[in-house]
Amino acid sequence: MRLLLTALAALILVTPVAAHDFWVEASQYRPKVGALVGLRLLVGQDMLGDPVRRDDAVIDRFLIRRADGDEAVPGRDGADPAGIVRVAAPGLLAIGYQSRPRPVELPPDKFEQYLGEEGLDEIKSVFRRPAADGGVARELFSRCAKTLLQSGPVQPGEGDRPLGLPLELVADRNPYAAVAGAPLSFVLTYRGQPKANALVVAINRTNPELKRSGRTDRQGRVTFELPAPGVWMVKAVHMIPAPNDAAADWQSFWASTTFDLP
Amino acid sequence: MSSHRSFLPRPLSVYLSIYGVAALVLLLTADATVLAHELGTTLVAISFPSDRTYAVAIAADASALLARLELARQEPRSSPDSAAAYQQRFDLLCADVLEHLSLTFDNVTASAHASCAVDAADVAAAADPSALGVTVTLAGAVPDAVDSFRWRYDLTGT
Repeated sequence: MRLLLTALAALILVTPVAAHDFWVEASQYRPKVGALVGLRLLVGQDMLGDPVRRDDAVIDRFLIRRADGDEAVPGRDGADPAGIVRVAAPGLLAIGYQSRPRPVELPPDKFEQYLGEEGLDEIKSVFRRPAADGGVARELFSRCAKTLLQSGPVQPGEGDRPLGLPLELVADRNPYAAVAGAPLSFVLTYRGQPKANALVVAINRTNPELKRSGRTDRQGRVTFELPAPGVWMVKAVHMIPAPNDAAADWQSFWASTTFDLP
Repeated sequence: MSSHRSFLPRPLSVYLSIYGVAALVLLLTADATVLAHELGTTLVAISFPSDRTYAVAIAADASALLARLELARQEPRSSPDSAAAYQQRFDLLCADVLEHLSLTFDNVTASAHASCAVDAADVAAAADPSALGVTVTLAGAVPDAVDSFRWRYDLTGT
Protein backbone atom coordinates (compact mmCIF):
# COMPACT_ATOMS: atom_id res chain seq x y z
CA MET A 1 0.00 0.00 0.00
CA ARG A 2 1.09 3.48 -0.52
CA LEU A 3 1.57 6.10 2.08
CA LEU A 4 0.35 9.41 0.88
CA LEU A 5 1.97 12.30 2.59
CA THR A 6 -0.83 14.72 3.13
CA ALA A 7 0.08 18.16 4.22
CA LEU A 8 -3.24 19.41 5.38
CA ALA A 9 -4.31 22.92 4.77
CA ALA A 10 -4.32 23.32 8.51
CA LEU A 11 -0.62 22.73 8.48
CA ILE A 12 0.05 25.74 6.37
CA LEU A 13 0.04 28.12 9.20
CA VAL A 14 0.73 31.25 7.28
CA THR A 15 -2.92 32.20 7.01
CA PRO A 16 -2.99 35.67 8.47
CA VAL A 17 -5.47 36.88 10.99
CA ALA A 18 -6.99 40.25 10.41
CA ALA A 19 -4.13 42.24 11.88
CA HIS A 20 -0.85 41.79 13.68
CA ASP A 21 0.85 44.08 16.12
CA PHE A 22 4.53 44.80 15.77
CA TRP A 23 6.88 45.89 18.50
CA VAL A 24 10.49 46.10 19.59
CA GLU A 25 11.41 43.92 22.53
CA ALA A 26 14.67 44.58 24.35
CA SER A 27 16.72 41.86 26.00
CA GLN A 28 16.87 44.14 29.02
CA TYR A 29 15.00 47.33 29.71
CA ARG A 30 17.20 48.53 32.55
CA PRO A 31 20.69 47.89 31.26
CA LYS A 32 23.82 48.99 32.97
CA VAL A 33 26.19 51.34 31.24
CA GLY A 34 28.36 49.30 28.92
CA ALA A 35 25.81 46.52 28.52
CA LEU A 36 24.87 45.06 25.16
CA VAL A 37 21.13 45.10 24.54
CA GLY A 38 19.54 42.89 21.93
CA LEU A 39 16.56 44.37 20.08
CA ARG A 40 14.10 41.92 18.62
CA LEU A 41 11.35 42.81 16.20
CA LEU A 42 8.25 40.85 17.06
CA VAL A 43 4.96 40.38 15.26
CA GLY A 44 1.89 38.91 16.86
CA GLN A 45 -0.96 39.66 19.13
CA ASP A 46 -1.27 40.40 22.83
CA MET A 47 2.51 40.64 23.08
CA LEU A 48 2.80 37.02 22.10
CA GLY A 49 4.95 37.37 19.07
CA ASP A 50 7.24 35.68 16.64
CA PRO A 51 10.57 37.18 15.72
CA VAL A 52 11.02 39.08 12.49
CA ARG A 53 14.52 38.96 11.19
CA ARG A 54 16.24 42.17 10.22
CA ASP A 55 15.56 43.07 6.63
CA ASP A 56 17.61 46.05 5.58
CA ALA A 57 15.51 46.45 2.44
CA VAL A 58 12.46 47.08 4.59
CA ILE A 59 13.99 49.40 7.16
CA ASP A 60 13.44 53.09 6.65
CA ARG A 61 14.97 54.06 9.99
CA PHE A 62 16.24 52.06 12.94
CA LEU A 63 17.86 54.45 15.35
CA ILE A 64 18.84 55.03 18.92
CA ARG A 65 18.57 58.51 20.33
CA ARG A 66 21.39 59.40 22.65
CA ALA A 67 22.08 62.65 24.43
CA ASP A 68 24.61 63.60 21.77
CA GLY A 69 22.50 62.67 18.77
CA ASP A 70 20.98 59.82 16.83
CA GLU A 71 22.80 56.70 15.72
CA ALA A 72 21.71 53.90 13.43
CA VAL A 73 21.08 50.65 15.29
CA PRO A 74 23.67 48.22 14.00
CA GLY A 75 22.75 44.72 13.01
CA ARG A 76 23.35 42.07 10.42
CA ASP A 77 20.85 41.71 7.60
CA GLY A 78 18.77 38.64 8.27
CA ALA A 79 19.68 38.50 11.94
CA ASP A 80 17.57 37.99 15.02
CA PRO A 81 17.89 40.01 17.19
CA ALA A 82 17.55 42.65 14.51
CA GLY A 83 19.82 45.05 16.32
CA ILE A 84 22.29 45.14 19.17
CA VAL A 85 23.25 48.36 20.92
CA ARG A 86 25.72 49.13 23.63
CA VAL A 87 24.60 51.47 26.37
CA ALA A 88 27.13 54.26 26.38
CA ALA A 89 25.79 56.48 29.12
CA PRO A 90 23.13 56.50 31.81
CA GLY A 91 19.71 57.92 31.14
CA LEU A 92 16.57 57.23 29.16
CA LEU A 93 17.28 55.70 25.78
CA ALA A 94 14.72 55.81 23.01
CA ILE A 95 15.01 53.42 20.09
CA GLY A 96 12.80 53.71 17.04
CA TYR A 97 12.09 51.48 14.09
CA GLN A 98 10.29 52.63 10.98
CA SER A 99 9.59 50.33 8.08
CA ARG A 100 9.04 51.28 4.49
CA PRO A 101 5.44 50.90 3.31
CA ARG A 102 4.68 47.37 2.28
CA PRO A 103 1.62 45.88 0.65
CA VAL A 104 -0.92 43.68 2.32
CA GLU A 105 -4.12 42.36 0.86
CA LEU A 106 -7.04 41.21 2.93
CA PRO A 107 -10.42 39.79 2.04
CA PRO A 108 -13.12 42.37 2.68
CA ASP A 109 -14.51 40.57 5.72
CA LYS A 110 -11.07 40.33 7.32
CA PHE A 111 -10.40 43.95 6.50
CA GLU A 112 -13.63 45.08 8.12
CA GLN A 113 -12.89 42.91 11.15
CA TYR A 114 -9.51 44.54 11.52
CA LEU A 115 -10.96 48.03 11.13
CA GLY A 116 -13.24 47.22 14.03
CA GLU A 117 -10.51 45.70 16.18
CA GLU A 118 -8.24 48.68 15.71
CA GLY A 119 -10.99 51.23 16.23
CA LEU A 120 -10.65 52.67 12.74
CA ASP A 121 -14.23 53.86 12.69
CA GLU A 122 -13.70 56.63 10.15
CA ILE A 123 -12.37 54.20 7.58
CA LYS A 124 -14.99 51.63 8.41
CA SER A 125 -17.72 54.17 7.73
CA VAL A 126 -16.45 54.87 4.22
CA PHE A 127 -15.12 51.44 3.30
CA ARG A 128 -16.99 49.83 0.44
CA ARG A 129 -16.47 46.21 -0.38
CA PRO A 130 -14.82 45.63 -3.74
CA ALA A 131 -17.49 45.08 -6.36
CA ALA A 132 -15.78 42.20 -8.08
CA ASP A 133 -16.06 38.73 -6.63
CA GLY A 134 -12.87 37.81 -4.91
CA GLY A 135 -11.89 41.44 -4.56
CA VAL A 136 -9.51 42.35 -1.80
CA ALA A 137 -8.76 45.41 0.28
CA ARG A 138 -5.32 46.60 -0.76
CA GLU A 139 -3.26 48.38 1.81
CA LEU A 140 0.22 49.71 2.38
CA PHE A 141 1.36 49.35 5.98
CA SER A 142 4.28 50.91 7.83
CA ARG A 143 5.58 49.96 11.25
CA CYS A 144 6.49 52.74 13.68
CA ALA A 145 7.80 50.90 16.71
CA LYS A 146 9.67 52.32 19.64
CA THR A 147 11.17 51.05 22.88
CA LEU A 148 12.35 52.94 25.93
CA LEU A 149 15.25 51.76 28.07
CA GLN A 150 16.44 53.22 31.34
CA SER A 151 20.07 52.96 32.33
CA GLY A 152 20.82 54.03 35.85
CA PRO A 153 18.53 56.06 38.07
CA VAL A 154 15.85 58.29 36.62
CA GLN A 155 17.03 61.86 36.38
CA PRO A 156 14.66 64.78 36.97
CA GLY A 157 13.46 66.36 33.78
CA GLU A 158 14.40 63.37 31.68
CA GLY A 159 11.49 62.21 29.57
CA ASP A 160 10.35 60.60 26.40
CA ARG A 161 10.79 62.69 23.26
CA PRO A 162 9.49 62.35 19.73
CA LEU A 163 11.72 60.45 17.36
CA GLY A 164 9.88 61.75 14.33
CA LEU A 165 8.13 58.51 13.42
CA PRO A 166 5.12 59.06 11.15
CA LEU A 167 2.78 57.77 13.84
CA GLU A 168 4.26 57.95 17.29
CA LEU A 169 3.30 57.49 20.90
CA VAL A 170 5.19 59.73 23.27
CA ALA A 171 4.90 59.29 27.02
CA ASP A 172 4.29 62.59 28.75
CA ARG A 173 6.93 61.69 31.32
CA ASN A 174 9.56 59.05 31.80
CA PRO A 175 7.64 55.77 32.27
CA TYR A 176 10.46 54.57 34.51
CA ALA A 177 9.54 57.37 36.90
CA ALA A 178 5.96 56.10 37.03
CA VAL A 179 4.55 53.27 39.10
CA ALA A 180 1.88 50.70 38.51
CA GLY A 181 -1.58 52.00 39.30
CA ALA A 182 -0.69 55.66 38.84
CA PRO A 183 -1.82 57.67 35.81
CA LEU A 184 0.52 57.61 32.86
CA SER A 185 -0.34 59.59 29.73
CA PHE A 186 0.72 59.25 26.13
CA VAL A 187 0.30 61.59 23.22
CA LEU A 188 -0.32 60.10 19.81
CA THR A 189 0.97 62.14 16.92
CA TYR A 190 0.61 61.67 13.20
CA ARG A 191 3.20 63.56 11.17
CA GLY A 192 3.96 65.56 14.29
CA GLN A 193 0.38 66.63 14.93
CA PRO A 194 -1.88 65.31 17.69
CA LYS A 195 -4.14 62.52 16.50
CA ALA A 196 -7.54 62.72 18.15
CA ASN A 197 -10.09 59.98 18.71
CA ALA A 198 -7.69 57.14 18.04
CA LEU A 199 -7.95 53.85 19.88
CA VAL A 200 -4.87 53.23 22.01
CA VAL A 201 -4.35 49.89 23.72
CA ALA A 202 -1.91 48.95 26.48
CA ILE A 203 -0.94 45.29 26.90
CA ASN A 204 1.10 43.67 29.65
CA ARG A 205 3.66 41.13 28.47
CA THR A 206 3.42 38.83 31.46
CA ASN A 207 -0.34 38.87 31.64
CA PRO A 208 -1.98 40.11 28.44
CA GLU A 209 -5.38 39.92 30.09
CA LEU A 210 -4.45 43.10 31.93
CA LYS A 211 -5.26 45.00 28.76
CA ARG A 212 -6.34 48.64 28.93
CA SER A 213 -7.69 50.80 26.14
CA GLY A 214 -8.86 54.34 25.58
CA ARG A 215 -9.44 56.98 22.93
CA THR A 216 -7.20 59.97 22.49
CA ASP A 217 -8.66 63.38 23.20
CA ARG A 218 -8.35 66.46 21.00
CA GLN A 219 -4.77 66.89 22.07
CA GLY A 220 -4.01 63.30 21.11
CA ARG A 221 -3.68 62.37 24.75
CA VAL A 222 -4.78 59.20 26.45
CA THR A 223 -4.22 58.28 30.07
CA PHE A 224 -3.94 54.83 31.58
CA GLU A 225 -3.59 53.53 35.09
CA LEU A 226 -1.57 50.47 34.22
CA PRO A 227 -2.39 47.97 36.94
CA ALA A 228 0.83 45.96 37.16
CA PRO A 229 4.55 46.46 36.83
CA GLY A 230 6.48 44.81 34.06
CA VAL A 231 6.90 45.16 30.33
CA TRP A 232 4.05 46.93 28.59
CA MET A 233 3.30 47.72 25.00
CA VAL A 234 1.13 50.70 24.14
CA LYS A 235 -0.08 50.72 20.56
CA ALA A 236 -2.30 52.47 18.04
CA VAL A 237 -3.11 52.28 14.34
CA HIS A 238 -3.92 55.09 11.94
CA MET A 239 -5.19 54.70 8.40
CA ILE A 240 -5.64 57.07 5.52
CA PRO A 241 -6.60 56.68 1.87
CA ALA A 242 -3.54 55.62 -0.09
CA PRO A 243 -1.87 58.16 -2.37
CA ASN A 244 -3.31 58.24 -5.87
CA ASP A 245 -0.15 56.80 -7.38
CA ALA A 246 -0.03 53.85 -4.99
CA ALA A 247 -1.19 50.39 -5.98
CA ALA A 248 -3.34 50.30 -2.89
CA ASP A 249 -6.56 51.68 -1.54
CA TRP A 250 -5.41 52.41 2.01
CA GLN A 251 -2.27 53.25 3.90
CA SER A 252 -1.82 52.33 7.55
CA PHE A 253 0.67 53.27 10.24
CA TRP A 254 1.24 51.07 13.26
CA ALA A 255 2.69 52.75 16.33
CA SER A 256 3.91 50.91 19.38
CA THR A 257 6.09 51.69 22.34
CA THR A 258 7.45 49.26 24.90
CA PHE A 259 8.90 49.89 28.33
CA ASP A 260 9.28 48.23 31.72
CA LEU A 261 6.95 49.87 34.21
CA PRO A 262 8.25 49.91 37.79
CA MET B 1 13.76 -4.51 -1.69
CA SER B 2 13.20 -3.26 1.78
CA SER B 3 9.83 -3.53 3.43
CA HIS B 4 9.15 0.18 3.40
CA ARG B 5 8.55 0.06 -0.34
CA SER B 6 5.35 -1.79 0.26
CA PHE B 7 3.74 1.26 1.74
CA LEU B 8 5.48 4.20 0.16
CA PRO B 9 4.59 5.89 -3.10
CA ARG B 10 6.94 5.08 -5.94
CA PRO B 11 8.74 8.42 -6.22
CA LEU B 12 9.38 8.46 -2.54
CA SER B 13 10.49 4.85 -2.61
CA VAL B 14 13.00 5.70 -5.26
CA TYR B 15 14.20 8.53 -3.12
CA LEU B 16 14.47 6.16 -0.18
CA SER B 17 16.43 3.69 -2.20
CA ILE B 18 19.01 6.37 -2.71
CA TYR B 19 19.05 8.13 0.60
CA GLY B 20 17.35 5.77 2.99
CA VAL B 21 15.19 8.52 4.36
CA ALA B 22 12.35 10.59 3.17
CA ALA B 23 12.03 14.06 4.46
CA LEU B 24 9.06 16.29 4.14
CA VAL B 25 10.16 19.75 5.04
CA LEU B 26 7.59 22.40 5.52
CA LEU B 27 8.89 25.88 5.79
CA LEU B 28 6.25 28.08 7.30
CA THR B 29 7.51 31.50 6.66
CA ALA B 30 6.74 34.86 5.25
CA ASP B 31 7.23 34.91 1.56
CA ALA B 32 8.00 38.07 -0.32
CA THR B 33 5.16 37.28 -2.66
CA VAL B 34 2.61 36.80 0.10
CA LEU B 35 0.72 39.99 0.69
CA ALA B 36 0.37 39.72 4.42
CA HIS B 37 1.83 41.22 7.52
CA GLU B 38 5.16 39.87 8.70
CA LEU B 39 4.96 36.24 9.68
CA GLY B 40 6.91 34.11 12.06
CA THR B 41 8.91 31.14 10.93
CA THR B 42 8.54 27.58 12.10
CA LEU B 43 10.38 24.81 10.30
CA VAL B 44 8.87 21.35 10.41
CA ALA B 45 10.79 18.39 9.04
CA ILE B 46 9.05 15.03 8.90
CA SER B 47 11.15 12.03 8.03
CA PHE B 48 10.45 8.36 7.56
CA PRO B 49 13.54 6.32 8.14
CA SER B 50 13.60 2.85 6.67
CA ASP B 51 12.77 1.03 9.90
CA ARG B 52 9.04 1.87 9.83
CA THR B 53 9.44 4.73 12.18
CA TYR B 54 8.78 8.38 11.76
CA ALA B 55 10.52 11.41 13.18
CA VAL B 56 9.36 14.99 13.33
CA ALA B 57 11.62 17.94 14.09
CA ILE B 58 10.00 21.30 14.78
CA ALA B 59 12.42 24.21 14.86
CA ALA B 60 10.91 27.29 16.47
CA ASP B 61 11.75 30.41 18.38
CA ALA B 62 12.26 29.39 22.00
CA SER B 63 10.68 32.46 23.52
CA ALA B 64 7.59 32.29 21.32
CA LEU B 65 7.04 28.58 21.82
CA LEU B 66 7.56 28.79 25.55
CA ALA B 67 5.10 31.67 25.78
CA ARG B 68 2.46 29.69 23.90
CA LEU B 69 2.94 26.68 26.14
CA GLU B 70 2.68 28.86 29.25
CA LEU B 71 -0.39 30.61 27.88
CA ALA B 72 -2.04 27.27 27.18
CA ARG B 73 -1.43 26.33 30.81
CA GLN B 74 -2.79 29.72 31.85
CA GLU B 75 0.49 30.45 33.57
CA PRO B 76 2.18 33.86 33.60
CA ARG B 77 4.88 34.23 31.03
CA SER B 78 8.36 33.59 32.28
CA SER B 79 11.49 35.36 31.09
CA PRO B 80 14.40 32.92 31.20
CA ASP B 81 17.72 34.70 31.04
CA SER B 82 19.92 31.97 29.65
CA ALA B 83 19.89 28.91 27.43
CA ALA B 84 20.02 26.73 30.54
CA ALA B 85 17.04 28.50 32.06
CA TYR B 86 15.08 28.02 28.83
CA GLN B 87 15.99 24.35 28.81
CA GLN B 88 14.72 23.96 32.37
CA ARG B 89 11.37 25.46 31.41
CA PHE B 90 11.08 23.26 28.34
CA ASP B 91 11.96 20.21 30.40
CA LEU B 92 8.84 20.96 32.42
CA LEU B 93 6.56 21.85 29.53
CA CYS B 94 7.78 19.90 26.54
CA ALA B 95 5.26 17.08 26.92
CA ASP B 96 2.50 19.67 26.52
CA VAL B 97 3.48 20.06 22.87
CA LEU B 98 1.71 16.76 22.23
CA GLU B 99 -1.57 18.36 23.22
CA HIS B 100 -1.20 20.85 20.38
CA LEU B 101 -0.53 18.54 17.49
CA SER B 102 -1.86 15.42 15.94
CA LEU B 103 -0.14 12.78 13.88
CA THR B 104 -2.44 10.31 12.24
CA PHE B 105 -1.90 7.38 9.94
CA ASP B 106 -5.13 6.47 8.17
CA ASN B 107 -7.05 8.47 10.77
CA VAL B 108 -5.48 6.55 13.63
CA THR B 109 -3.62 8.79 16.01
CA ALA B 110 0.00 7.83 16.33
CA SER B 111 1.70 7.65 19.65
CA ALA B 112 4.61 9.98 20.08
CA HIS B 113 7.22 11.06 22.53
CA ALA B 114 8.41 14.67 22.55
CA SER B 115 11.75 16.06 23.57
CA CYS B 116 12.85 19.68 23.48
CA ALA B 117 16.39 20.89 23.00
CA VAL B 118 17.26 24.55 23.23
CA ASP B 119 19.89 25.61 20.75
CA ALA B 120 23.35 26.32 21.99
CA ALA B 121 23.80 30.04 22.46
CA ASP B 122 25.56 31.83 19.66
CA VAL B 123 26.97 35.32 19.63
CA ALA B 124 23.64 37.00 18.96
CA ALA B 125 21.87 34.96 21.60
CA ALA B 126 24.54 35.93 24.08
CA ALA B 127 23.32 39.50 23.75
CA ASP B 128 19.70 38.43 23.77
CA PRO B 129 18.88 35.01 25.23
CA SER B 130 15.30 35.36 24.07
CA ALA B 131 16.59 34.96 20.51
CA LEU B 132 17.42 31.32 21.07
CA GLY B 133 15.83 28.60 19.05
CA VAL B 134 14.42 25.31 20.22
CA THR B 135 13.97 22.02 18.41
CA VAL B 136 11.12 19.75 19.37
CA THR B 137 11.67 16.17 18.29
CA LEU B 138 8.89 13.62 18.02
CA ALA B 139 9.37 9.97 17.18
CA GLY B 140 7.25 6.87 16.93
CA ALA B 141 6.33 3.86 14.86
CA VAL B 142 4.55 3.83 11.52
CA PRO B 143 1.69 1.32 11.69
CA ASP B 144 1.53 -1.48 9.15
CA ALA B 145 -0.25 -1.06 5.87
CA VAL B 146 -1.24 2.56 6.02
CA ASP B 147 -2.28 4.75 3.14
CA SER B 148 -2.09 8.23 4.50
CA PHE B 149 -0.34 10.45 6.96
CA ARG B 150 -1.76 13.65 8.37
CA TRP B 151 -0.29 16.28 10.57
CA ARG B 152 -1.64 19.23 12.50
CA TYR B 153 0.17 21.69 14.77
CA ASP B 154 -1.23 24.80 16.38
CA LEU B 155 1.62 26.34 18.39
CA THR B 156 2.34 29.04 15.88
CA GLY B 157 1.19 32.53 15.19
CA THR B 158 -2.04 32.83 13.30
